[in-house]
Amino acid sequence: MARPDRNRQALRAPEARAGWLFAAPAFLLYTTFLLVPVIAALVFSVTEVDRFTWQTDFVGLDNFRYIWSDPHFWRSFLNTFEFIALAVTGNVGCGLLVALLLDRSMPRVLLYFLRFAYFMPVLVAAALVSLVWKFLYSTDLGILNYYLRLVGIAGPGWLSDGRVAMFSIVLMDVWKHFGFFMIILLAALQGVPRALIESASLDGAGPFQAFWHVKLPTIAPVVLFCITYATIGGLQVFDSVRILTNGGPGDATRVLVLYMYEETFGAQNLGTGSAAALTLLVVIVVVTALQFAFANRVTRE
Amino acid sequence: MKRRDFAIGLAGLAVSGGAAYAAVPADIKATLKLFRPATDADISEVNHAIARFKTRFPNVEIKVQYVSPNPWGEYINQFMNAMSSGESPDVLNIATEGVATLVGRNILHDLSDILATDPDAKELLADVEPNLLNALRYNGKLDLLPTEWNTAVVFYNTDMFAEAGLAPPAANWTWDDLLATAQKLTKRDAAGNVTQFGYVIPGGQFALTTWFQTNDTDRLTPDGRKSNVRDPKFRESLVFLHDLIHKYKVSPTFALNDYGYAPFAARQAAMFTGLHPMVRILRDAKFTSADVQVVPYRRKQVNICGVMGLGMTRTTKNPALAWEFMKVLMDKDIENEIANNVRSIPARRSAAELPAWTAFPQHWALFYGAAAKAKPLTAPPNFAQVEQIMMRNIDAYLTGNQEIDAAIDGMDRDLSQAMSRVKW
Repeated sequence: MARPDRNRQALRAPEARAGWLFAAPAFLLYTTFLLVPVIAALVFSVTEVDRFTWQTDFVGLDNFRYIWSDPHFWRSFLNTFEFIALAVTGNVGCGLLVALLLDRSMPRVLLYFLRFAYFMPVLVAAALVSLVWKFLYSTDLGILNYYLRLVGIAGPGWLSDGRVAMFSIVLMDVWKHFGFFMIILLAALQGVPRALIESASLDGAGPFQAFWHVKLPTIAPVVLFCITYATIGGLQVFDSVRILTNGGPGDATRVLVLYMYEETFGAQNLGTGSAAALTLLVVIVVVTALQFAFANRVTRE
Repeated sequence: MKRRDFAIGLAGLAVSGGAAYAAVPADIKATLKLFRPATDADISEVNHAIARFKTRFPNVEIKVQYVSPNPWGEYINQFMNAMSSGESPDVLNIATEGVATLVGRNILHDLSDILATDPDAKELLADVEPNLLNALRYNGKLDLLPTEWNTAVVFYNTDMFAEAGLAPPAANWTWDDLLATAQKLTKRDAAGNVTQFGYVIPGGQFALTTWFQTNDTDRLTPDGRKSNVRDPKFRESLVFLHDLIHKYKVSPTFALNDYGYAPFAARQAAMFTGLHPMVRILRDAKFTSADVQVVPYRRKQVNICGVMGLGMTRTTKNPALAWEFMKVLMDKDIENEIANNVRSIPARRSAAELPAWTAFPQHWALFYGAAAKAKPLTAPPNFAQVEQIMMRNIDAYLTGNQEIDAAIDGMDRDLSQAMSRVKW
């Protein structure tokens, strides 16, 4: 029997209040750490601020014109996408490869040990990893080139050669992060119905065909999630670049976030730093939207 | 208003009148904030200073904000954050690199009048090399007093020199002398790989600047306002360093932010240009076969200096009390502690003669001896940006990724644009 409208409205108010109260903490965090900084960045991007006196002058689009006409900005833009292309491929690719290798019958202890071993670099602080790899990569005094020279190979300038430096940073990034994607993809692979794989096997499908026609389509949404997650992480890369090369040699590894940091805290220019940050925000939104559109299409297919 | 507060207010007014501060009552209740670099030694020294201060002013609470000064741009950023969030310190430490930024904005009290009248200030200045004050002056104002400072010298491995049959470098050695020495100290294995480098080029701006100063040039004009990188002498300095790596192969590949003490301590390099804190690092590593000499020169024999200063902000509510605290942070006890910790060059000459400080290396006197003629690092208000531009382009050139003309063009373009945006 339907309740009278008056009673329904009387009940809705307390329910609404409860809903607001439950949502309030998350909304407060969202407002404080996301909404307010974005609004602040919008304001700073069209102003010039003296951080000592807080004297603020409206400058319109001058900050945007400054960074868009700065060749270092566009170089950092390209570098960021180069890093993403390499790092996403490496992280998700290696993660998937290792997950496939672990997705088989093996003693549980061995499986747990290998999973932990591959995941352990993820747990170590990025700054510490970068410092150690910086020593390894030293051109003349590092251990990598030392062993290469022992076998007669002149080692490259891992961090000093502009053609190689970005690759070196990606290599370290993949070593550190692929374990995270491996864990996710392994869980996805273990969720593939065994009956499907057995059917494929009975139909004469080899391991590669079973992977390509059965496993990969089944875990496609998870793979696309990993690619999206890795892309967003790649767009925000900072600490490893700062420690390993500080954007050098020259501008060879200067990424967008490092450019923003240098404008804001090096040049002490909140305006241009914020303008660069907003440009990056737009790029992230566009890239993520494209990825979701692509993901939806693939999933439907 | 309490009589006590009135007295303190009078003391504050007395600053502008040029007189010393009025005496602060011992039972005053107040809070003072100190902004300071953070190392273990810094924290220990400050804790001891606070303990001494509290024996005279037991009801004064001291709050210390420790910030890493590596790099100085970050330190200045944190200070700006403190000021803009309403947590401005009463007393702060800042080095030469930040003097123009703070003094140019009139953030600190001018101490000239206090120095002329306060007996404790006169005692301090009598024990400090006058030239060190020049590194803290800006536009004729002296808003900071020196507590410690640094210069760059060449550290060399005495065993490697003896093994190569070389006499220690002379006090008036030149760039060519360094090259010849480095060539004799560089060793190669049968395959031609270098196993011991003669000299490591410093990867930081402070020590690297010695290669410009000793060629009578610098990255900026003497007034610190314009790019000077098109000076042929500046180019000459860069080409010489490039040749050490690529032509003569006596130096390892240039590494940004690497001062070279790690390969030196690992006995992979015979010489590097370093600062006094390296003495403690070598001492703690029990590396005793090291000595120092002034940096070699081409056109002008000069040493660089960077000075850490102590100042009082204009936002302090207790200038007289803050001045009393500053005196404790500059007294003989803390200076002696800096010397005994062997982490920097104390501002006081007497502290630089203590046994712990003079124990190592053999020519320790070179460090304080450089004070009289040392030339401060030119540091405009946008020091951090200038450093970024410089090191980016020098790194690209010295690592062989860019030709000299392109490096100088890039440096000049970026520096000129950066300096044009500075509000003097």
